Amino acid sequence: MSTHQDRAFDDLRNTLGEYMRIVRHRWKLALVGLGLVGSLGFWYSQKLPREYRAMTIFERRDDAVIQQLIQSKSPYSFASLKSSIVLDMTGSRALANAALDMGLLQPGEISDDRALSDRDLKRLDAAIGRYGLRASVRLMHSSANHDTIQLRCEANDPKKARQFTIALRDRYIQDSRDRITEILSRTHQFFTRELERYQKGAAATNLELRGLFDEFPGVDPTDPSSAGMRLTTLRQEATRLSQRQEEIAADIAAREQFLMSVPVVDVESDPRRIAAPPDAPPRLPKTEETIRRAIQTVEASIDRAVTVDRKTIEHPDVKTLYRQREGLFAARQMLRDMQAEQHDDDAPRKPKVKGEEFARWSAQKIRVELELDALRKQLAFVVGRFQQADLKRQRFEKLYAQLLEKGDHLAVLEQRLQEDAAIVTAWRQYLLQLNRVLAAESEQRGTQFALIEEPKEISRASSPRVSSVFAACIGFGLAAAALCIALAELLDRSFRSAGQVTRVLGVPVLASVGVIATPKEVRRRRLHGVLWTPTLGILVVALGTMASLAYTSLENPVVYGQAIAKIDRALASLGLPPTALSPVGKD
Amino acid sequence: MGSMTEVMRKLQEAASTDSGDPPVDGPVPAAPPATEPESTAFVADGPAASDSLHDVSNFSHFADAPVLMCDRETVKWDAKKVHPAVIVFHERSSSISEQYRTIRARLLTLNTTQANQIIVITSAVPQEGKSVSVLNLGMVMAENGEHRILIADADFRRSSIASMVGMDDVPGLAHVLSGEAELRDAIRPTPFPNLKILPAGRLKRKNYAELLGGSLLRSALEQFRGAFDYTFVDTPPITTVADVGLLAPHCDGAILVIEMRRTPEPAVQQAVRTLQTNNVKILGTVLSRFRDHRTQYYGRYYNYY
Repeated sequence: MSTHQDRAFDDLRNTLGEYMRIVRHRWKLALVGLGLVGSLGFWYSQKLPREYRAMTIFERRDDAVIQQLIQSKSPYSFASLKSSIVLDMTGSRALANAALDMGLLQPGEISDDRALSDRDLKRLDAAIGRYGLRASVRLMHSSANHDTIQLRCEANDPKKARQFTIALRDRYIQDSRDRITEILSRTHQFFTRELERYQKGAAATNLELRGLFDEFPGVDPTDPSSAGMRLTTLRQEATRLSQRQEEIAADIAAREQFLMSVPVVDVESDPRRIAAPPDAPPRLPKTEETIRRAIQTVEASIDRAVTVDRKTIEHPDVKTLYRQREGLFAARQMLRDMQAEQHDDDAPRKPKVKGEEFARWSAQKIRVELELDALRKQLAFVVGRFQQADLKRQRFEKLYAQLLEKGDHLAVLEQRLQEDAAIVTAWRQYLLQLNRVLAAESEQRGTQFALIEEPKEISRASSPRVSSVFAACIGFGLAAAALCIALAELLDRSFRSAGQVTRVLGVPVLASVGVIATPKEVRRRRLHGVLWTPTLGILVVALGTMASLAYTSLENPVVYGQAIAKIDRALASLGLPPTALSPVGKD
Repeated sequence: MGSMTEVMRKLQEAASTDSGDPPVDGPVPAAPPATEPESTAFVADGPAASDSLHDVSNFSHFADAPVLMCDRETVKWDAKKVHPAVIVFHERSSSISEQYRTIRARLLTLNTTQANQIIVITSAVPQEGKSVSVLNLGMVMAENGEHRILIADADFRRSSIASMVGMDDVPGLAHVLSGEAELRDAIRPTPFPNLKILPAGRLKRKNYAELLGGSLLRSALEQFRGAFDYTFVDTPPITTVADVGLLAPHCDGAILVIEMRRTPEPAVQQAVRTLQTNNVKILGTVLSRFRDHRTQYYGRYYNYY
């Protein structure tokens, strides 16, 4: 195995050695091939059409609010804008707009429609094809709300490439702003409509929910316990007014009884005298007082049950208390009726008074009559209040009964109302944000377009590349050199190595004698040198000059143009035709 | 290295026996004093003086070299007249001289029987360096003094051996083969006592093929074989004239000189086939004007030594 490897290695080494020997012997010929073909290649490379590339980098930072407002799948979403960025920047319409901005097309030459017709497209192709304009877009960095965009334009003219880049970029930014503004305007309209719709819905729900208790402000229809408390309050109010009514009625009755007991005037002795009043004002019977206290006790119990114990009026205990109170009311009324009948029986028995005593009774009577009048007015007012309160109680009791019946429906209405309120609040918030974004957009502060890199003044061609030109020219030159060597070796039938002699003739080589430096040999070498040295020198100089010109034409066209102009002038002064090389980018 | 050490040893021995001890091998007259002045202009020029064979004193050790046929006469060559391509004469320690010594070593190795040999040096096409190779090879074979060497120029049409070393071409081998001169008269001394040169000679008649096909050739070759350990015969290109075909079969072998990157491969193949057809043993090839980076690589080490 190792023997085979050694043999293979030896063969390889011998082969390489043979190649090196050939190259060492034919290097001049190889240099001729390299110089000629390389020079021609470099010369031809100067005639190749140049391509210049301008590049700009800018970033688009979208407002976070817009991202939240616009759905990601919406055609107006940032993702949609991102996906269409290539078409937006390098589409036919964008190219046409850029050509219009650059003056390559006149405003009337192409239609304003977004979709270009075939005729417009032909004109556009002719306009941008004249300068070989091309554009490409690349997203250097992309995130949810931030894009770094690289726009590259190529043309056969450096100025046009730069103008084209700027025109495309500015157009895109302007179109994007317009588009965003349009999106925001439409969104604003949509938001406004939606807000109105939700507000109407919420108002209707609220009306349906609160309409029942319009006359009872503060009552929450969805809270039966609070409504029950309110009903209890109304009942207590009615009861209090009723009690007040009865108290006033009792006062009135007392005063009327007093008036009935005022003594009449003894005319015979003193017409001004009146009958002497009894020793003490008539008192309520003890039974009635007992009833009144019982009523108060029951009402206190009712109040405690409804407020402290939070029992409704439907509670059996509360109902029992109400029944007890009604019974006490009825008993007291019966007692009063009996007393009235007794007063009627006592009326004819009014005492008779005379003189000053009658005057004193008269003054007392007037005061009581005034009080009676006031009490009657109070009674009328309290009766009115009581009637209202009782009516209100009766209505509230009905509503409360409805509330208990429609409890679930009202709960649904309440939930819907809350949802509607939340939605309305959210839409209001959206609208506020949108208004802020619109205001920012109007001041160009919304979607941020920040320029990172302005297209530079182009001083070198992007195509053909220096490395490509040099690689091609040197490659072709080396290939030509190799071809020259190969041809020379193929056509050379002489012996070139001792191994060849041994191999071909089958005769051993005794020795290889080098060249003896005889005067003839020296002369021959000199002649050889005289012929070859200038030739090779010229070829090397030509190769170097052409390579330098090719390099300069690619890397520094201005200097190249100046150099070519000088060379042409020099040739013209010598009466020679100018070079066929034209300065690059002179226009 | 061994040969150089041997040379140094012999130089020391020669210095110690400079009184003129008799030669070991036969009645060969002693070599003239090494310091004998020459009438011809001799210039030991430049830094190569100590590295060249210009000065015969460097070869006093050859006094012991056995020479059968000729005497031990040496001559000084005018360095200006010796062709610069005779690198062994001018730059004895150059890398190219060493490459010729490599050929010497190979030839000595091939000659296992130690028999005297006649070796034809030929090439496929003209101007490949045969004469230069013959001269340099003959000199490196002779420089250690152990072998008697003869360089014979059989390229009658374009003889160059004599002119390359600045000697007269007449009489030469052609005269010997035509019977116009004796072999002893035609063989010339060199600065090396054991190295002789037989020029080609120049005849008015141009029937050289007849010369090589005559019986005198075999006689001459036998004399060469008897008198010299190694006889190197410079011949015309094998693909242009038929001289080699006539001469080589009588020799012990042939060395083919091939100029690298010049001699067409088919011509060399034809030359090999011709030699093989004539039943000539091809001892090997010498690649002249060889340029190889590996050679240059080794040359650096050679300069180091």
